[in-house]
Amino acid sequence: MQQLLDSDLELVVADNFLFAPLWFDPSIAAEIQAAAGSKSQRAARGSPGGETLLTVNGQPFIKTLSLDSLLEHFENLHPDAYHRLRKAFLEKHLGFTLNRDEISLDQKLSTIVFHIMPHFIRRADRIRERKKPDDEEFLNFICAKIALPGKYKRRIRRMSDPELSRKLLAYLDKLAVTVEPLKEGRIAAADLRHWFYPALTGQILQQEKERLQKKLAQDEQLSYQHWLKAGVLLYLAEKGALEIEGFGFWRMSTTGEYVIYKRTGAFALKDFYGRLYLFPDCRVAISTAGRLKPVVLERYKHPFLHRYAPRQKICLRHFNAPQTFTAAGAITALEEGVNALFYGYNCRRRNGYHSLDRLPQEARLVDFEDYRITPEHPKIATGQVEVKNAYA
Amino acid sequence: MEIQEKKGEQPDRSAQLLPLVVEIIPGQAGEGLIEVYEPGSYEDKSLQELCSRMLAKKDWSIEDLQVLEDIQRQLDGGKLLARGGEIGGAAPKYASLEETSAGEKYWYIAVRAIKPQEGG
Repeated sequence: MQQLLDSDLELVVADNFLFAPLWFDPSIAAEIQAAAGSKSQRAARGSPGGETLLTVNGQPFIKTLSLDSLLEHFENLHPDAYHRLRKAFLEKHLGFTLNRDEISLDQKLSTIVFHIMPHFIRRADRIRERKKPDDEEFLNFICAKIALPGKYKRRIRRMSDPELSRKLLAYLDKLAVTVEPLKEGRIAAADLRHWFYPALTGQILQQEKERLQKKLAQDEQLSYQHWLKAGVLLYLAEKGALEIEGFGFWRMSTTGEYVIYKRTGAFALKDFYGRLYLFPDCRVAISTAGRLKPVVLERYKHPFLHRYAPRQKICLRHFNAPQTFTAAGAITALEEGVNALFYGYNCRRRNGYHSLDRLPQEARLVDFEDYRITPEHPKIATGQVEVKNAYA
Repeated sequence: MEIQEKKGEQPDRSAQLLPLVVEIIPGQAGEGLIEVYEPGSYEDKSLQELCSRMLAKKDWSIEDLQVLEDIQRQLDGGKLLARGGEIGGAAPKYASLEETSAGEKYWYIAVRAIKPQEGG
């Protein structure tokens, strides 16, 4: 349909139907002659409504779509083009998004928020009713955890204000989109375009009025929580970043892909002699672009990292990083990365790129002496920091 | 029972008769499988015994069975760890004192099912 609108074809409009040119072909010509039996079917039969073919100035045209169905089904056939047009209309006349169902997270963001994040988050108050939260429940949890910026609070106040909806409805009622009917006969595709988009805008106007009326009827029954969740969705969709309880993500402005991370918190490892090393918090991350290989975002050193540098891949054996982004793959990759930092170093085997304890006569690329702590260190003594490889 | 974490309190094991909550958490998940042991039922048991009992239990809910599956997946080549170490000792040794939002005290042990990575 879009191709037809964008073409430079000559068309025929008859009885609210569009007829497109039928290209010459000997077999088609034979069919036309057999079917028509006259030079001008339209003239002979009076009405072309039921006819499939028209011949105008000797050129055959075939019936395609009714103008009404062109308008009616454009949204389904070309949703992106339709939504662009609708968004432009809304921005011009209404200035902001009105309904919660207008706000949608892109697919990757939705997967991160509703399928990956719940796996890593501990909702302590629900410990006795172990049940995976549905999207609404998890959105409630996020609402309780984040302070929505003032900008978004103002927007949800506007979204939830019935008085404003009434004013907008009155404004839309006054707004008229008048479109002349498309003239019958031969037209250029450009004429069709000039008629079609204003006609579609008129249809959008009518739909928006109906939607606002419906919204007004519903608004009184909707709670503040409903609008708060709408605000959080809007915030997530626009900002594309969040961190709750050590799990976070952000959207990269250049590619629109996401970096997802899990904080380790401070942890301790022991060396061959049972001496302790305190490692600072870091973020183990994967990117949704490409293979899901865990890296440490910060400038960091660890036996499983080659150097003391940022964004180093964690050396993992027996781990085949998933090729594409899925919730299960992302969870596995993040867990493998964190597990490697916590539990991978075996003090007896001194595995990894580097050993924690300095070996005699060893030239060190990375040294951990500055991480050394005593067992009496307050964080160890109070149990605030765990020695992760105590099992080895 | 609504549970609120209260970190940093070390158990005064001088016989506070409190329930013991054991949670087996698969990998780095936020939540795991929970079992509550009443006072008198766990004091002489090792943490390993309590965990084995939990993992052998059959009447978990469907949601719990999913968590159990995650735990079994980790344990295929992995191990159960509490405070970074093996879990062979007596259960009270690993417990920390926590409190519900209603102020009820209980002992809590987090056990992680971990498949250690062999990196480097």
